[in-house]
Amino acid sequence: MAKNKLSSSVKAKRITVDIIVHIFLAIVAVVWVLPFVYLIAQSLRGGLNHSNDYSLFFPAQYTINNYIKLFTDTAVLSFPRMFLNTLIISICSCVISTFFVLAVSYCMSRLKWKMRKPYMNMAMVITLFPGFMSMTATYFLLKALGLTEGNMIPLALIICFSSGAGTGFYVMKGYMDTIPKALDEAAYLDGATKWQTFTRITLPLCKPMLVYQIITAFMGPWCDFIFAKLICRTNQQFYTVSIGLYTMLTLERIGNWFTRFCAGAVLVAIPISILFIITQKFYQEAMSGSVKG
Amino acid sequence: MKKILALVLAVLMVLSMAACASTQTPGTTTAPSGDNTVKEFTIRVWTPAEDQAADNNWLDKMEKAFEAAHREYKIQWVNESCSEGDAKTNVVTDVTDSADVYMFANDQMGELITAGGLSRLGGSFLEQVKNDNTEFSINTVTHTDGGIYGFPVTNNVWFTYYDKTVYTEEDVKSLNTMLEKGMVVLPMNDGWNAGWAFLGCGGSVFGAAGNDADAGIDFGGEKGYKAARYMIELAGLVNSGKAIFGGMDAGKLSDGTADAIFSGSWSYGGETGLKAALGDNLGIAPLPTFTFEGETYKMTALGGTKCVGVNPNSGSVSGKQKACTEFAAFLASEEAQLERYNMRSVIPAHKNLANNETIKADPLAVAEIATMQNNAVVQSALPEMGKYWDPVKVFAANIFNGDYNLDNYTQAVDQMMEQMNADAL
Repeated sequence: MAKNKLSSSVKAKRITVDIIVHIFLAIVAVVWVLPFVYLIAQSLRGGLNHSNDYSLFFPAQYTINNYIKLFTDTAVLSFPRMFLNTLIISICSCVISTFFVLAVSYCMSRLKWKMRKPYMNMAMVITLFPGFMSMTATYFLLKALGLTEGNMIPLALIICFSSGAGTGFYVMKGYMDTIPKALDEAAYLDGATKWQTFTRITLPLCKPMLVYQIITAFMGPWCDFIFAKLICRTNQQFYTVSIGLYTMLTLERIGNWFTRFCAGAVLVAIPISILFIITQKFYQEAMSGSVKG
Repeated sequence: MKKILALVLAVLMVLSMAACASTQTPGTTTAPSGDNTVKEFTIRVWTPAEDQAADNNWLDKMEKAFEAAHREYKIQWVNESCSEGDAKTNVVTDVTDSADVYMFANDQMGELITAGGLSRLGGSFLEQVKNDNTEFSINTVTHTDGGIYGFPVTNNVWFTYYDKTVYTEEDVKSLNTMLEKGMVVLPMNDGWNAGWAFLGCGGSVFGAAGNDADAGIDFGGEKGYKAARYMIELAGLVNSGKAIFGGMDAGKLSDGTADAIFSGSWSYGGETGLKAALGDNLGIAPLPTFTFEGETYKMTALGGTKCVGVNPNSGSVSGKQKACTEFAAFLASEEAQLERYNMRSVIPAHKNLANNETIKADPLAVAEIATMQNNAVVQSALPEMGKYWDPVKVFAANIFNGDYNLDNYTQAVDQMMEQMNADAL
């Protein structure tokens, strides 16, 4: 009898704790999702008479015109162009950065060389400083190389975003360290070169981390504001989406551009989502492989 | 290890210094050329993107007109977009690699001059600014050294927008009547608007012309206390739901929450602007007066101008600086300002245009110009102005959230005065 009572009180306690935790999580989830719901709702806001009702969470009228106008009304600010600029810059930076990180991580994890430890310490110290600290120096360096003008601006941005990527090797190296060295040795015995071992053995086993690397390497330039603003300055034809969206919100423009800003902000999420959906597949596959191995 | 790092850093430093040096070489090669030879330059121009819209390109039109008027120049134009508000950020980043001619808001003038990004005007250009503008506009571009550094092209101030079904033209001359007959959004939430009661009761910001640093910001004494008492009264109205605490909330007028708001010309046009929302019921008027403790004061805003300026670092080509200044003067000419009004509805600052038939028929322009003349004080371009915004904003916020009341407002005003006039920036 007593035992029964005890277990029921334990059960009751557990249920209360669960309820509290779930209520808390539900609140957090709502708070988390709310801005996105607002953004999407506002991007579909239509109508003239209630056109400035930012305060209404859900608009009185809905329309898809904001999206259409974002792509057709390009006389003052050309969103398609900004989108394309950013896409090109991000894809190039993503490929270069990912390669850099992989190459550096492989060297750090698998090759033994004299400067390895000092190099790792140095990279650690350098990455402790936020990148934007060097922005003035970066700007003048790029200017000295003639990269801050005209068509060289996208190249300057790609250099900015990808050149330092190699120092962000820590996570990747850590992951590579967990792959048994015996696999490499087996490959060498079969006559594989270092490059072959890297591409055929190490890389496939790194897939989960590779996915993470690709997504972060893509999102960095995609969302960057500081460097893009510094280097593009007034060259509007090279603006990236983050600067473009920012310029839509100046005091003089916000009235006419706010809904289009929301539409643009929604569209910005699309490439990242696509990338995530594509790479997620590899993520799952790689995980199943590594369990077996 | 350390040596290598030091070496790398040293190389970077030298490189960047070389980069600066190579562009900063003062180019004063004076090769006097005959008047009949055609001079060739590249002129880089920054204006807001709206001036260069593909289907409504005011800047391009002006450049063509300028070339037609000046056969002695052969100019390669480089047009880039930079709003007046962003000019300071973009120019100060790298003055030697900025536009030769650009537009800026007058409150950025001090910092632009300090950075070496603005030329002092002289000769016929100086005469043009003095002849074409009201004294108020001239004051907005006069620096502490007495020099004039820009050509004003448009005004920057806020005024009344109201619903004609609620108010008559007579009603909107007095804020007291407006508060009685309808719902008003009181502009109090931002440094740019929150000081109107102080300014209205006689407060001054760096002297009458806004460029006397020694005069300081004078909101103290009885005039300041009175303004504070008035603000406390307004806070009472807000608390009892008879007015709204806010800013330049055009949306509150277009959705019917309020019957009158205060904002600038940017709230008017466009498809989400007030004109589109209210149509013929939209009324526009200069700022009203307010009556408090038996006396009547003008509601007073900080007024500025947006100007065209010339960068002194425009390179070594002889005669280019003159051509740039001529072009800037051209952009600020009566015809150019009128054309900009026709194409983009930007209200001109030129004093002759205030009497132009087209301008006089536009209630927006009339209200803005009248506000600039009667209800505005110069928004100072002094760096000390940086100490103004936060204290006045915080003061208003504290009045309206009830922290400052009739028991402690004198101390609060004194404290604000102290912050605004403190020595350290």
